[in-house]
Amino acid sequence: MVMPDRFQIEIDETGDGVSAEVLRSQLEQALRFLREDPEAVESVDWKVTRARMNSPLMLELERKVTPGTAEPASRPGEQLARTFASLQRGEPLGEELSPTRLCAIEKMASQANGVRRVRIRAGVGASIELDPEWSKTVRQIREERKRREEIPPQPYSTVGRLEGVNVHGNKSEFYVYDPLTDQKMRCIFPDEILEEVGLALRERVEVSGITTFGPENTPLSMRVDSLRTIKAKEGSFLDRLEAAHKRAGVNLTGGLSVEEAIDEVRNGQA
Amino acid sequence: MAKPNRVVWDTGVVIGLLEKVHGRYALIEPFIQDAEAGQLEILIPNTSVVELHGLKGLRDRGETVEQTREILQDFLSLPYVIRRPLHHRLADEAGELAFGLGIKRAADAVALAELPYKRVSTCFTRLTVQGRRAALSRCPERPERRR
Repeated sequence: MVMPDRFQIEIDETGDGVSAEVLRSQLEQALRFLREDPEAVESVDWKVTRARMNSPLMLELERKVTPGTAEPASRPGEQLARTFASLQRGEPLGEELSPTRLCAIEKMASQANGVRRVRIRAGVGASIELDPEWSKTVRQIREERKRREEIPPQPYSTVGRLEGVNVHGNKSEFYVYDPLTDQKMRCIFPDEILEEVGLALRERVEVSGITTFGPENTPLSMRVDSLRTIKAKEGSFLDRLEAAHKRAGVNLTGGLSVEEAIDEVRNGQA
Repeated sequence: MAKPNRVVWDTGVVIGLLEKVHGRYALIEPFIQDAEAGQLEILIPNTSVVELHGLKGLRDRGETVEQTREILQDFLSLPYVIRRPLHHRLADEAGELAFGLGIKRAADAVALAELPYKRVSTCFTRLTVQGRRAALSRCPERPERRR
C-alpha cells in the first residue's frame, strides 16, 4: 500500500500560543507549493489530519484523493521537505522548481527567526528546522534565474494587422498583435515612414526591427526598421495552385523525391 | 468566433502541398480548406523558408521555375500562413530539444520548438520522434516549456 503524501508544519514561539498571522502565512505558502504540482488534478485536496494547538503548534496535512481516482505519482509534500533538506545540506536546488515554488520556500524560511522556530517534516522523515538565511539563498536563486530568462533586445520580425496609429507626443507608434502570443506589440516608427504607415492601417503587415521581450518570450516593443504590407491574392489558393499545375506545372524538387530534395538542400547531397 | 488553431509545417509539407505529391496532398489539402475557412493558421519557421527557396527545382530558369517561385510566394503571403523568425529563445529551445530528443537536423528542432506556444497543437514534419518515422507525423508529445 502506498503511504499517503503528508507533511507537518511545527511553529514554536516558546510561549503560550503562536502568531495567527504566521500560521496563516505558513499554511498559505505551503499550499502554494503543493498546488503548483504539475500533476495536480481536481481530484486532489489537502486536508489537516492532525493538529496540536499549543506552542509548539503542529499541523499535519495529508493529500486526499477522491475515492476511485488514481493516486498521482508526484509527492509534493515530500518534495517540499526535500527542498528544505537540500537547503539544509547546502545543495543546489533543482531546476524544476517553479518560480512560484521558490517564492513559497523563500517566504516560509523568512518567518523563522531566533525566537520563532519553524520545523517541517514529511512522512516519517527527520524534522528540518528552517533557517532564515535560506530565504536569502532562495532569493538569490530567483534573481539569478530571472536574469537568465531575460532576453536582450534583438532583431525580430512579425506579421499582424496594423492598428492604433498614434502620432501624438515624441514617439510615433502603432500596434501589431503578435500572432503567436496574441500580445499587442508597440511599434515605434520613424517619421520617414509615416505615409507608409497611414496606407497600411488595418492591413496585414510584416514589421522588423530591434525588439524588447517580456516574460515567456513575449515581444513588447519594436523600433521599426522596415514595414511591408502583405497583400493576399483574391480567391482560393487551392484554385490558383490547380491552375498553376495545369499551366506550366510546379516543380520545387527538381525531379527528386521530397526526402531527397530536403537532404540535398540541407546537406548538399541527394 | 473561436480563434483558429495552429499547426507547424516544415519544408516537406509545403513541398507536398505545392507539388501535390501523391499520397501526401490528400492529407494536406483539408488543412488548407480549414485555413481558408478561418479555422486554422499555419506556422512556417523561417528556417524552412530558407530551405524552400534553396530547393533544387528553383535553381534553374524557365516558365515552370518562375511559376513555382510565384506560387511559393503566393503561399507564404497567405493571410493564414505565419512565418516565424528564429529568435534568441526559440533557438535555445530548439537546441535543447535537439539534444533531448536526439533530433539531428536543426530545422526539425526549430519546427518542434514552436509547439509550446499558444494554440499550436500539431506539428507536421518528416522527422523521427521516439523512434517512429513517418512521411507526415503528428508530434506525439507536446514538449514542456522551459521555465
